[in-house]
Amino acid sequence: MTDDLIQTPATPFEEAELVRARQRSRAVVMAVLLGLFVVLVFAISIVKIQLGHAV
Amino acid sequence: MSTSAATVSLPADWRDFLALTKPRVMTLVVFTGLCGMLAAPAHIHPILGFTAILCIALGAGAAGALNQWYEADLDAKMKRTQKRPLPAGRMDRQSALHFGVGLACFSLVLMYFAINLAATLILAASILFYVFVYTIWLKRRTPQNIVIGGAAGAFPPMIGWAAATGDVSTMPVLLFALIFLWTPPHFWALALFVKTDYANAGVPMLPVVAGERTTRIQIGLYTIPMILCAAAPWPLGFTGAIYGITAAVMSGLFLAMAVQVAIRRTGPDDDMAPEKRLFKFSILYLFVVFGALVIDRWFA
Repeated sequence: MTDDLIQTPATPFEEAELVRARQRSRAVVMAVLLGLFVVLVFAISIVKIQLGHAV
Repeated sequence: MSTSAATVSLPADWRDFLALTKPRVMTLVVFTGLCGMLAAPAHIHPILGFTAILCIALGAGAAGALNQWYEADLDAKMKRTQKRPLPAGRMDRQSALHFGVGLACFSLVLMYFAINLAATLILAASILFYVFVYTIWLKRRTPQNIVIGGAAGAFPPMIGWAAATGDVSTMPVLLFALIFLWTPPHFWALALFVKTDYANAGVPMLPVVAGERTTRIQIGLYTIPMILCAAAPWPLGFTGAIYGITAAVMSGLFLAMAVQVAIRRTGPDDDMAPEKRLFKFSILYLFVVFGALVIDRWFA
């Protein structure tokens, strides 16, 4: 699919749209990963407090 | 080390970053790391255990990304690897480098703060070993590349063990030795049936440099200490009969296939079926032996 995107001749407008779509999908994935990271850090902190370790 | 073959005009897709981490290789790394952790004689909280395995996976992914960053030119020459993001022109090399370094640092910092120093140091050693010793130093220089470089892939059970116990004892060293000695027969079986690919790319794999005959003999020779290592934990008292019998049976099958490969002579149109079978079985072997280790520890 990505090969097709690269090889297909596109107008400047279409190319800008493709770039924006790619940036949007990367931003969504990054947001999800950051959200999961926050949850993980929270969970680690709770576990460490329960175990009596310094966080 | 040249830049990728095609011009990159679009930002790389997130799937290409995922592909940089070599997810298929990661499954074996994660599995052996998890088994090392579960076989350790210490309890680790499930959240911390999950975090430790996540760090091992991220560290392995980082090492894979840095490997692909450095080997973009080699990957472009081999059928097996030419569709990867860098040789296919879907990503620029700098993005791969930044991603690899960032992921490596992230995995180490998380491992240190969430788990312990011992696991962090071994994880750091495995990433550095894979990138600098195997990828940059050995791979293009010597047919012993995968023998010495195999150490990088042998660290995960030791990291898992260290994450649970905070230190390293004889048993994780045996697990390290098992994967270290398993790597040459595994990779040389592969190298025998993709020899032309490696030769075209100029990678001095043993079949390319020393020939098929030597490679076959070496596969047989490395299998002997490997099966001794696999069998050792039972007589040494580290495991029970479940592991001991499973390891003995699987090692016997491995030895039979390795001997068949070792004594074989091939013609020009040979389909390399025994070599392909040994390669596939070697993956199953590691999964079953490490799985038996965990079953033995928890259910025996």
